Amino acid sequence: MKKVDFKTLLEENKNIIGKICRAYANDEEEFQDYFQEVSLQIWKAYDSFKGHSKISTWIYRIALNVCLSELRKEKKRVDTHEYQPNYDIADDVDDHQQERVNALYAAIKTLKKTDRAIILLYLEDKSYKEMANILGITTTNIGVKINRLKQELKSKMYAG
Amino acid sequence: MQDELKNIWESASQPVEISDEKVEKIINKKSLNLVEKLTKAVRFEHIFNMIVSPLLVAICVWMEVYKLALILSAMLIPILLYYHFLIEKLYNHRIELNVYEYLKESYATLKRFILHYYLAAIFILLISLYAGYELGETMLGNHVGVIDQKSFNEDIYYWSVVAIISIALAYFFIYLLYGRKLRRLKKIIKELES
Repeated sequence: MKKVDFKTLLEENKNIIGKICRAYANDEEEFQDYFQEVSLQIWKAYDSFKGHSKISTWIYRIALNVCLSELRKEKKRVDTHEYQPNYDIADDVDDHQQERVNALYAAIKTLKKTDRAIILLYLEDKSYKEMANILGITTTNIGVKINRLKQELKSKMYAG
Repeated sequence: MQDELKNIWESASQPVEISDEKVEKIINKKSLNLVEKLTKAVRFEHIFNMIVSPLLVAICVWMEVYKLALILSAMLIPILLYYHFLIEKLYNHRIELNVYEYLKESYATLKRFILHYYLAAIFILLISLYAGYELGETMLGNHVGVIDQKSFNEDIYYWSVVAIISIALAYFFIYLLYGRKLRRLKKIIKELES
C-alpha cells in the first residue's frame, strides 16, 4: 500500500476510527494511543485485505479488536466516571447538542466493553447481519442485546 | 428514541488531523499490541537458540564434557522444531479476524506463551543444574580425582531448594505479567458468548 493511499484511507475513515477510540479511551493520551495503533494495524494488514467484506466492516473489526484487547502500555488511568471531556461536534451544532453528545459518550462509557462495541455499531447504523459479521456473534444475540442496551443508555443519559 | 440517539451520534465529529507527518509517525511507530511484542520475543529466542545452542555444544566438546555435548545435541532439534511450531501458530493471530475469533485467538496465544515461559523456566533450570554437575564433576575429577560424597550430597540438597524457589518465583512473575490480562480477555470472551 502506498503512503498516499493510506493517508486517503485514514482521511475517509477517521470519523469511524475516532468515534470507536473515543468510546474506549479514558483520556486524550489513551485516545491518541488507540487511534495510532488502529491506524498502524490498518497499514500493516491492508495487503491481506481480500475485499470479501466492505472496507468499513474491515476497519470496524480492526478498531474494535485493538480497543477490546487493550494495549500493553499501561498508564495510570483516569476514572471514566470523573473524566468528562468536551467532544467536538459539527460546526453547525449548538451548545445543547454538545451537551447531548457528551451525555451520550458518558453513558456509553459506563457500559461493559463488549456492550459498547454492540451499541457503537448500532449507532453507526449497521445492519444486524453486518454487526454479526464484525463481532462474530449471532444476529439473534445482537437483537436481544440491543434492545436491552438502548433502554440502559436511555436511562443513563437522562438520569443525570 | 432510537433515531434521537443516532442523530446525536451523527453530530459528533472527530477533530483528528491526518497530515503527512502524522502518517509517517504512524508507519514508523512500534506496535503496542501485547501479542506482537510476545511474537517478536519468540522470534528473537528462536534466532538466539540457533546461534547459541551449537556454540554450547562446541564448548562442551572443547572442554571434553562429551556426555553434556551429546545431550545438548539431542535436544537441539526438538527445541528448534518446537519454536518453528510456535511461530507457525502465531501466524493465525490476525487483527482482521472478527472480534470474537480475534479475542479467542489472543487468549489462546497468551496462554501458549505462559506455558512456553513455564516450560522454559523448568528446562533452563534443569539443564543448568545438570551442566553444573557435569562440568563440576569433570573439573573436580581432573584436579582432585575423588569427589567428597558428603559435600556433594549437601550441595545437591541446597541446589534443589534453590531450584524449587527459582521455579516458584519464575511462575509468580510470569503470572504477575500476564495473568491479569488473561483473566480480562476471558471475561470479555464470556460476555460475548453469553
